[in-house]
Amino acid sequence: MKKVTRKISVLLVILPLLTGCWDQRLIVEQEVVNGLSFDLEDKKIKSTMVVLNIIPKGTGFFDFKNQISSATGNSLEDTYRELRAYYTGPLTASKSRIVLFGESFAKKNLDAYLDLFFRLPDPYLGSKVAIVKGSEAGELFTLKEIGTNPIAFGLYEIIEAAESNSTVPIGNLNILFTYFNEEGKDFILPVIEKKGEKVAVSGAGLISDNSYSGKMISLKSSSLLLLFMDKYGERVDLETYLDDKKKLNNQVGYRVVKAKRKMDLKKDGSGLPVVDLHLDLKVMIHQYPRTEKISDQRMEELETLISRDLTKKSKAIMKQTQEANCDVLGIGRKLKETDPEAWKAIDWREAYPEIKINTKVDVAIEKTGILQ
Amino acid sequence: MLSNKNLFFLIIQAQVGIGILGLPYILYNDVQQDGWMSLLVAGVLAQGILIILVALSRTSPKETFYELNHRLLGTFLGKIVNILYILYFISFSLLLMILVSDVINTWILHRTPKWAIILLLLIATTYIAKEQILTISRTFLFFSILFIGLIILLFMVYPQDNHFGRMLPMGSKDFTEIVKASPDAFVSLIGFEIILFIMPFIKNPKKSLLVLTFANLFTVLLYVFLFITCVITFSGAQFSLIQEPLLYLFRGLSFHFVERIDIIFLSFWIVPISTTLVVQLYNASLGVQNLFAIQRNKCVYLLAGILLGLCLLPVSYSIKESLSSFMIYLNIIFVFIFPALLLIIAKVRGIKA
Amino acid sequence: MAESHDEFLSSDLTENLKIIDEKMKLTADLKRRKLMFHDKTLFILYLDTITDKESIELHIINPINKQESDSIEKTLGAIQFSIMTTFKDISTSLAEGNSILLTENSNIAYSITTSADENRSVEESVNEKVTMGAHDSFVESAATNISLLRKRLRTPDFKVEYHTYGPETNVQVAICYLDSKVNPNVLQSIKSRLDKIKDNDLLNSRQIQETLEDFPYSPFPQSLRTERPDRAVFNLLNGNTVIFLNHEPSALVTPISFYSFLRSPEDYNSRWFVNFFYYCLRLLAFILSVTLPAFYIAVNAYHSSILPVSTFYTLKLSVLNVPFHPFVEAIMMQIVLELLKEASVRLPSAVAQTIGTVGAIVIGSAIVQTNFISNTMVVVIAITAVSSFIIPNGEMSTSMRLMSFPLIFLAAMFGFIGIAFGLMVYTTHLVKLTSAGKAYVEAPNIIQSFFSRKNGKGQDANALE
Repeated sequence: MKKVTRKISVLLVILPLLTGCWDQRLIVEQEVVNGLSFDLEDKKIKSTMVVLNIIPKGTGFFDFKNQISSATGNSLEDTYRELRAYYTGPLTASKSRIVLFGESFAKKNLDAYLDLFFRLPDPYLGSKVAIVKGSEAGELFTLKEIGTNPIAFGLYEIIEAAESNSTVPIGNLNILFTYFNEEGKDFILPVIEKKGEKVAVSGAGLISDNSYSGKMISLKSSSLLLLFMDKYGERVDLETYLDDKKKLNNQVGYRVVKAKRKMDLKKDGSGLPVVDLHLDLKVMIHQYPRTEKISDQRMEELETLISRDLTKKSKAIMKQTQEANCDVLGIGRKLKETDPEAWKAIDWREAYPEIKINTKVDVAIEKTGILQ
Repeated sequence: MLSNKNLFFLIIQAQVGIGILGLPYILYNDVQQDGWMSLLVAGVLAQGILIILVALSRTSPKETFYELNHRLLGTFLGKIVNILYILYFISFSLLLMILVSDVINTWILHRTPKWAIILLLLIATTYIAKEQILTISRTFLFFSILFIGLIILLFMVYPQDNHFGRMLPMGSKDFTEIVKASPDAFVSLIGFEIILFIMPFIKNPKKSLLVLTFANLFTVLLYVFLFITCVITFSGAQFSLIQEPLLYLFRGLSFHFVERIDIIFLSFWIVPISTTLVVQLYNASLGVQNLFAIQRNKCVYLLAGILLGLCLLPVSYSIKESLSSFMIYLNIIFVFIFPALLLIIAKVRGIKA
Repeated sequence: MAESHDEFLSSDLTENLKIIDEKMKLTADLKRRKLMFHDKTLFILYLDTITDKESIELHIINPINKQESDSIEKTLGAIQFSIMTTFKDISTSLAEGNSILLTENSNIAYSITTSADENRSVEESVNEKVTMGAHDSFVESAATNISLLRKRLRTPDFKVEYHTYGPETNVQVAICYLDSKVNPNVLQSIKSRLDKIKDNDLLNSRQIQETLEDFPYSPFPQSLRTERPDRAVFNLLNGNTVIFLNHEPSALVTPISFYSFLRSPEDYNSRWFVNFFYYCLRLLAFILSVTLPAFYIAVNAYHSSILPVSTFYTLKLSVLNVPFHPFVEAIMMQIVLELLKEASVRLPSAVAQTIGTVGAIVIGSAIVQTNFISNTMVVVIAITAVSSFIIPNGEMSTSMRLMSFPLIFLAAMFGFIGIAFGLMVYTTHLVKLTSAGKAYVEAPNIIQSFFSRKNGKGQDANALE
């Protein structure tokens, strides 16, 4: 009798659970947002969303279709309300690949606009982020595919490739969230452009105080900036004109094998910091304008030539960042960490364009490829 | 009888639980990047209390704390103190369950009602807590595999984009501020008070202090490691926003074959959280057993029923904040001040078992 | 007290014969033969069906007919016999296959061992096959089985105890152990438990298993049933006890640890790394077969966000047209699988192969093509099944497969959190279990237990209070 009562009480306890499955979201029901873009249109936000629909065509075969819709509103959530109406199932951003900003939108304070992404547990923070130059961001989604990839995936992979080619540092929404709130450090975002029916990364956009400054480091010099940031990717290829002459086939190309960056802060008379940047590169020559043996003497000449060239280029890049007021190297952060008193005394946003940044690059050629 | 290994895992499982999720956030908002110093201070404090607790339970190693109370304070006063302790454990468990259901609601199961989660939690913990202490500790030993998982995952965070400079400037806060923040850290170290109740079951009581010290050291070092990982990963203002930094750390983490580690982690971290609840239930059930002289497993059922009832009250969730700030003081009173007083009484009276 | 009078044989031969006939319920196979011995009438009674007629002829009838000696005792001297005085003893003795010799004017009877020992010869084990190692297996006779053990253990330390249980069936139970290695307390508890067997109809080893187990309601077997002598010997050497039930072709080993179920006798014949690999594989198989379907359902119904995007779409593509909830799918598929398995066990081996083909090809592919069950679910359940089948012990294998059902249910309710709670309860249950007072599952001491090559050692350290 006792056992029976116990069993009944256990059942009574378990039974209410049977009403359950409150949070169920079956994989079939979900509409997965692959790409999102935000533009400004008539002082309102225009969100565009791309959802990838797969259409099974018998066992093992399928086709896909991008379902694109856009809506305007005063905030992101405002536009979502409208966007949700276009889709058959519950929308989830847990698989979003890419978030694009139109140039005008990017110039707003991004951190406040994107709060939604970080406040909810659902969105995927590994999505890549990029600024679209020259056209409306949503327009990019109208391309069906890049290569064989659906558009959102294609964009993701283009940016990933740019990261490994050291055009932009590795970035995603999660890293963005960190830098949005970091004092004394700005960041760069990839800038992509639609060229006909193709899309290409055209450089690294400088973000100042969480909004796009409108200035961009071109594709050719961004690798050098990344070396100075100590955030370079798998491959860093640079090139220098021989004898400073810009003519056809006169460039020596080299790949960075090893890079070491040093940042020293000193103070000048007025209390502003003076930054000494020193970059030590070990490179491998992978292109030389003449197929001939590079002698030891020539090697030394090349080393000084390249060092001088890179030093000059780096000065220009630093100038650009100062013009954009984008402390991408985190000099302010370094100051805050090493000298908190001095940091408190100055207004970094005003000080950064004024400070003196000395750069120096030392290059040592380590290898010359498989040819001597 | 509990061997040293059993005791060690029992203590760390009792200490580490829900607190680990929010601990870095609380500390960072108190003393910024110097929070690890507060942790160490709290660790030293805990160690001091440990010595007191062990000294107290050694005065009569064959008795649990409740029996000791009876003997030292007399039947009436002893009974009142025991009831207070039971209430303390109940309110601790209540707070724990409210926090757990809250975290799960926020992160994973958004629409699942709290009572369902709590019911599930109570069924599982009751099933463990009704067993003998040796079985409990051996179970905890198996659950401790999760700590290895946690440590590996924390190491996985390091290849991500982080900056060691965020630890700097070191020691920018006053020592008094650091000490003031340590009670917040101390809450997460609570759990070792179980030693008061399991002394009679320990195989090697002489070494218990050493084992407890190692367990405490492990927990403190784990917290320090976690805190440092969080500091170097999150930037300042970001850190002060994120309520569960441990989960957010893993939210950004993704591998080729699996994403959203935070969901997987939190789902299985329920186990160490439950073990804390098991320990509280065990402590309380011993008290109820002492009070009413009924079988201990029935005490556990009774307590689980009471806890379920309390959680079903709608008011429970609105008092979450006040209960958790209140609990900081209760912890110090019940884990530190009262046992210390009792130790003095025992020494003055010179009672030996 | 008329009855008690009836208990004993009287000197009236016809009366005795009549009472014995009644006691044996006038069974048709009770035969009697009348002989003359020194002018005395003798009767030989035996059950036709279980006695060795040749032996009766050779050892009883021939000597008596020759009338070699004066007394019956001396005549029967060549073979084993005992003297009986009560009808109860006589009827029991008859039922055991002995012949009863009754003499005129005498109140004693002779019971002569003539039982026919019809046994299957020792053959290769069907259920626990190995590629390396001995190929003999136990048969339906305890004596033969013990002889198989003795062949391997030529030591006086090896001790056998016979007990008879079950008032109706009178089954002989043999308890074997190595006297110097066995824990006397464990042995004592085993014996006292066996003494408590109240079943009148003790017939199969499951009944013994139930009395021996500390937690008979647990889904996990806490004593190992094996039909391999080498496995039994291995366990004997570890200090465990081996119990035989006469007429059962398997040995019960107790106490036993959970990890022993993951080992095959073949392991000890392999190189250490092969041994280690298979051990780990089986551990993995255990985890997979219990958790995999639940995991799949949790991912499908709750946590699809943990999937990388390519996997997500693959999965979505495969479940797109399936009308059922993954929980229903899983249950359906598990049932189909169990049906196929049962069908192939019951059928003769030639037909069983057909069932395999029908199951795999016809049902398997058709069920996917008709969109009843998704591709992935078929894969998941197949992996679960295969994982459980590699466990060397059939009992454990089935338990494991069935243990996945509660987890499937919890996963369908709460996703990963349900699984976490489920596994928590499972772990506690396994840790709680004891086998003859010894802990069933130890802390993962894999490496140590592996190198000492004695998977049962080191248990005493954590034996329960």
